[in-house]
Amino acid sequence: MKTNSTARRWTVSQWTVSPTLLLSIPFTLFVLVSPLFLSTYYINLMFMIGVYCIISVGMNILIGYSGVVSVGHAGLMAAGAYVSAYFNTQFGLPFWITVLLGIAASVALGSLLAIPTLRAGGIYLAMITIAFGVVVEEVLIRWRAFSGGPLGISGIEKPRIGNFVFGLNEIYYMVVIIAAVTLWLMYNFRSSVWGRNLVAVKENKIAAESLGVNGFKLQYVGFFLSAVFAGLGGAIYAHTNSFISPDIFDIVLSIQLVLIIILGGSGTLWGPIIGSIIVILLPELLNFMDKLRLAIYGGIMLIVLYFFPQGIVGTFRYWRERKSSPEEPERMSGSVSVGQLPGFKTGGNAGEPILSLRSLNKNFGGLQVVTDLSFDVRPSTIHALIGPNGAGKTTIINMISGFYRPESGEIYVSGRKVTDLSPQSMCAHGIARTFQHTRLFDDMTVLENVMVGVSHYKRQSFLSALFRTPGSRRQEKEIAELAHAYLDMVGYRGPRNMKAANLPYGHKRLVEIARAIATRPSLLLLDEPAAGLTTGEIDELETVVRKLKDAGMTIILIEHHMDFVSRVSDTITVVDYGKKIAEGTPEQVKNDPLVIEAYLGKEEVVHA
Amino acid sequence: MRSTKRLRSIGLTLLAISILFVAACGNQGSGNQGSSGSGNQSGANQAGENQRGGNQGSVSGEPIKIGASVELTGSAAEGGQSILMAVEVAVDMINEQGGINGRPVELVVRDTEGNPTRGVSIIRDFAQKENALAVIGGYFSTVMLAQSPIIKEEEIPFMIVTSNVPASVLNGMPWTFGVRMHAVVTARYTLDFLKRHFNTDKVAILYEDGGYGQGALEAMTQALEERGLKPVAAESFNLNDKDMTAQVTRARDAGAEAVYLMGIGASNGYVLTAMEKIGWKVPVVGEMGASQPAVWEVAQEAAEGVFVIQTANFTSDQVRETAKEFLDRYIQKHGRKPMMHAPTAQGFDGAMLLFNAVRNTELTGDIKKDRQAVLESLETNVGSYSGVIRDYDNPFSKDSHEAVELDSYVMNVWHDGELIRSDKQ
Amino acid sequence: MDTFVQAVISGLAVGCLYALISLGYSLTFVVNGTVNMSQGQLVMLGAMLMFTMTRLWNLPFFAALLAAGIVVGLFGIITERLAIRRFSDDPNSVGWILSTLAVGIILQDIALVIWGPEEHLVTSPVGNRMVRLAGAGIYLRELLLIPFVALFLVLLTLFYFKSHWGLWLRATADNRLATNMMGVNSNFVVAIAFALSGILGGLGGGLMSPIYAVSVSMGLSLGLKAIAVAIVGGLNSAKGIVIAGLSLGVAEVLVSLYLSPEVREMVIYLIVIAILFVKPTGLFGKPTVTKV
Repeated sequence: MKTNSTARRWTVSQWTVSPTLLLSIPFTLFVLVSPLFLSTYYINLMFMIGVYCIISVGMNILIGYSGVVSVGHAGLMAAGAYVSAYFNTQFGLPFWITVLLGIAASVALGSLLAIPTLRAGGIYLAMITIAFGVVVEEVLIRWRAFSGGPLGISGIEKPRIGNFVFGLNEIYYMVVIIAAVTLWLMYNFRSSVWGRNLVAVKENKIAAESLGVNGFKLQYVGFFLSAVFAGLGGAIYAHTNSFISPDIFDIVLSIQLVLIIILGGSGTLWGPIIGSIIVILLPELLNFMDKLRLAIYGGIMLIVLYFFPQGIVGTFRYWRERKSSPEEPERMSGSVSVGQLPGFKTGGNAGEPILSLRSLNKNFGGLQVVTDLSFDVRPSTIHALIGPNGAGKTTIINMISGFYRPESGEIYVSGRKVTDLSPQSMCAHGIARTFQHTRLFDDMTVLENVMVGVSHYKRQSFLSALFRTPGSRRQEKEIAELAHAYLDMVGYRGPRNMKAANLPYGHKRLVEIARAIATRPSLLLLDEPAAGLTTGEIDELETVVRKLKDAGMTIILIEHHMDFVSRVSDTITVVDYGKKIAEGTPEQVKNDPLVIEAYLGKEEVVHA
Repeated sequence: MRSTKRLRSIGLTLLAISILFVAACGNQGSGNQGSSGSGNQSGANQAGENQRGGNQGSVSGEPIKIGASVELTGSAAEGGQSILMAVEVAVDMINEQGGINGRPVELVVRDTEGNPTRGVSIIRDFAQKENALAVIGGYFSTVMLAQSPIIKEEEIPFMIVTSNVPASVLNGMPWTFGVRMHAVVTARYTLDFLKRHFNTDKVAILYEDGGYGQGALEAMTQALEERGLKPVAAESFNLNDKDMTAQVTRARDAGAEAVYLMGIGASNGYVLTAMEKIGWKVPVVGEMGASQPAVWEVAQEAAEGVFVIQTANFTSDQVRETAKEFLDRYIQKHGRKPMMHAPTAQGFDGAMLLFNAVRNTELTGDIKKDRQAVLESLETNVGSYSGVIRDYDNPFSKDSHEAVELDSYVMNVWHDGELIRSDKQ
Repeated sequence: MDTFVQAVISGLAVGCLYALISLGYSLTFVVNGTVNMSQGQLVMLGAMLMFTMTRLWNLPFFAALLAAGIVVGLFGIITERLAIRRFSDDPNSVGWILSTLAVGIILQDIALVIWGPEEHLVTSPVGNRMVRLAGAGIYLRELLLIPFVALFLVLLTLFYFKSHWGLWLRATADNRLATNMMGVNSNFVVAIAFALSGILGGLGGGLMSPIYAVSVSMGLSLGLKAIAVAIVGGLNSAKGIVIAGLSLGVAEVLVSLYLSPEVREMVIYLIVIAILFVKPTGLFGKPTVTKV
């Protein structure tokens, strides 16, 4: 399906749909022109929508991309608002400076919040953020010298240039511009290495770590951005309404911010916009009721949540995706051919083992799973690890790849001790792996999955990603080309623009291998790659494995398919009950009486 | 199957939204004042009674729109609803007499929810969308504070009938007018009262940690400073607290001989029960928050003898003619006596004063000019009006936008579950 | 000394209530990973129903308490059907947080129309009697909370561990799929969990109503406290929740007494953050192990 078109639709398809484009033109026109004919009532509402939009962009990055549901961001808004207001009312500093101070305060506070928050998960994480919000509100009520106490700060100045004081209309346009810029930044972020890797961490943290992605750093970036936008929104609010009080920044506001994202559609571009519009306008539409108003508001929320469980934009996108099959990306003209891919050099002496395990011991709460295990793996060989179920094979792989720490013993890669390193560091030492149950990033496309692997070698600076510089755009293209090349290398012929969750099983395994080798490892750990594959697919797998070996890679293979193992391996290590019971060539191992005994009675029969 | 489900989802949501739109347009976006049934309800939503609003032409019969900005939900609902229910009686009475210069008064109600951000939007709503001539309301302090600069910006007269935060008065001038008690005046009255009847000025201020309490703390501290004194103790508590033993113990140990009780509703009751627990019996004086029925509900006998400053009292028989009439109408309309005394009385008198001012104004139909004219009328030409609280005679002026003086304050006392007029004043 | 004793007993009394209400969160969490964010409003409902039944209909206290519990239990079932079921399939979905919050908003607003904004206190069957313990004055009605709640907890434990339905609850909590395959209707079991959770909330509200003034707006802050207790205690540990509830009640009073009432909320919630920082699944919660 190669074409030579230069259309650039090789990344995420969710941004480039024509109906959205069609709607956005009249929408933008309306936004720009409205102060001419709408009263301050409506402009004020649109101003609020704009401010909420700015903050929601941050929430979208946090909830949608990082998977962190913070129900305490009103506290960060408050930091921005109060610090900005304080420096304005106490020291007379102009808005343009105080807003930066406010953002700084919000970022500082947000960083503080990130520490306990990112350690926890799920509802516990949410609770920490709720507690944070309450603490901030309480501090503002008590710390009268700074915050003016429960009656807040009045008389905050509007933004000013020289003698010209901004009126509502000017502030409105300012907010529109800022909102547009923040949306643009969000889009850039998502289409960059940073955004993609962040979503990868959210989708499957373990897999992301095995590809060398630093989960904490990325999630902190998400926090950072959300704090910037929250502080910015808070400061703008303060200087427009000229009054703030602690009860404005309460848990109800924090919940509204989350509601905007969930209602709009978490992780979408239009989600923050639609969500903000609903949350601001719906109560106004209900103004005519003086009783049961909130009940109806709650009822409508319930209805929308019920019928649009992925948010409005999210659900529409979901319907659209199910209706039409995603288009295949045009292949790059001049794409990287497999031959051009860098070889997987071992980086050590040819004679030295690339991997050495020495007396590894691992137990789980008293159950000894691996006992005194030692073996060497020679570079550019295929080394199989076999044994009955429960023998400890996956545990060994987990120790090598840094996910488990052995109780005692050492692991050496090319002579360097790597025993206690994290999975990300193991990746830097040239170790990559696949998993027994495939761990693809389900919500990302096949291509994006592999691109995450490529990003291990293709770094992108944060600022160039955020502002989508020509350099970063070129890099994105290169990353995509490389991803295509790795998919070619494993012989993947399925759709590349499809969400990984929808792939058939065999395809998933291939993609996972492609993703792993994209990190250019010298040592590849395959955990039962042939499980669930058809005979034809196993043959293809064999071809891939041989090809990789020829390119210089060392492969450790856990497998149960004995014929496959025998055909392909140079060395086999047999473990049973966590101990090594045999090692040698396939011929030697097949005839080893201990091995036969270990397998006796099991359904797998060793072929003569 | 799937597409029908999808269609159903979209359909239902659109249906819900379109019902809203139709209802909103059909009602001209106003919460209309009609007669309510019995029970605690305020202002039902009946479309039929009202004529078309919108244009403020000088054609007689065109309604005069007055906005009501009150807390109908949330923690301040008791006060907001009290105000609204009183204003509704005033509107009924005015309309029965033929309206203002032949034009009926239409009340447009907005619930602030106790949310300052919403308060801001409501002012703009009244000023720009509803085209109200003036607004009445104002109970919750932070809402009023947020609204004041907007009131000034939109140039619409606002009759504040309870909230008395000084900053909000300043920031809203000259468009805000008050029929309300004053925190500092209340404090002074309290000190005089304590001196006169109990011969002490050793006061412990027990206040809630929100805006109301903060205002009261500052006011009493100022009143004491004027006499060269200081509060013996100042202890705060949270409205959600149930146990104030710590605070009252500290107050007692500091040597206080009287308590200035500035909580809201039930929390005052807990202070009183805490005092009972530690066996500390001293004179207690409060005002708005201490007037709420929950105080007795919680404290029962421990509340016996607690003094409460208000501008009116609807438990005892009414002395003033207007008050008698008002109370009868109120009970007829709402089926019960008022929840809170001062906001009710102030709400009614505030509305009547506003209507008087409007009556004495030439309305041209240009809303901006008309609002300015109403402002001037309020300042110079309200005329005489015998109200629930007192007799007014051009109560406002260019310098003073306050209608209630110290001589209108009434000392009440809790007795047997009711707040009655106290013998001691 | 007497102040201390009084504080501790008061704190234990309110802590009992926290424990009772917070257990409601745990019941549903272990069964299908969701919590009812409108639990606070359910407590409010129980309290307001108590008020109506005892004050307006003149029902005896305990009959009203029982009725309140049952009615609120029904609301628990309704909430699950409307707001939770839709979202509980996808483990990552947080939609149920918002939908149960929405239910809470609806409940509160309807309650406002029915009961109005005023606060009420129900007459306790033991009236205003005070007892003196170690020199400290304690209202009998507060003191009696402790044995009552203890009794309910015993009943709950018996139900959970000895009854047939309790067995189903525990099985579903452990492995929903397998329980389904055994022929137990997991939807029914989830409904039981939510009903129980509602009953606990209703009873909590009913027990509160003669001691602490209740109004329709009490739900939000109470629910927040209760869920903090549940999470800090460990959502899947009933023991942890009871301990956390009692501790919170006592801690609140002690911080007020010995530090300052001003910083109480701040200190409490900072402690919450600190605990969750050290033990991210709560004090007694069992962390779920992910297989690599």
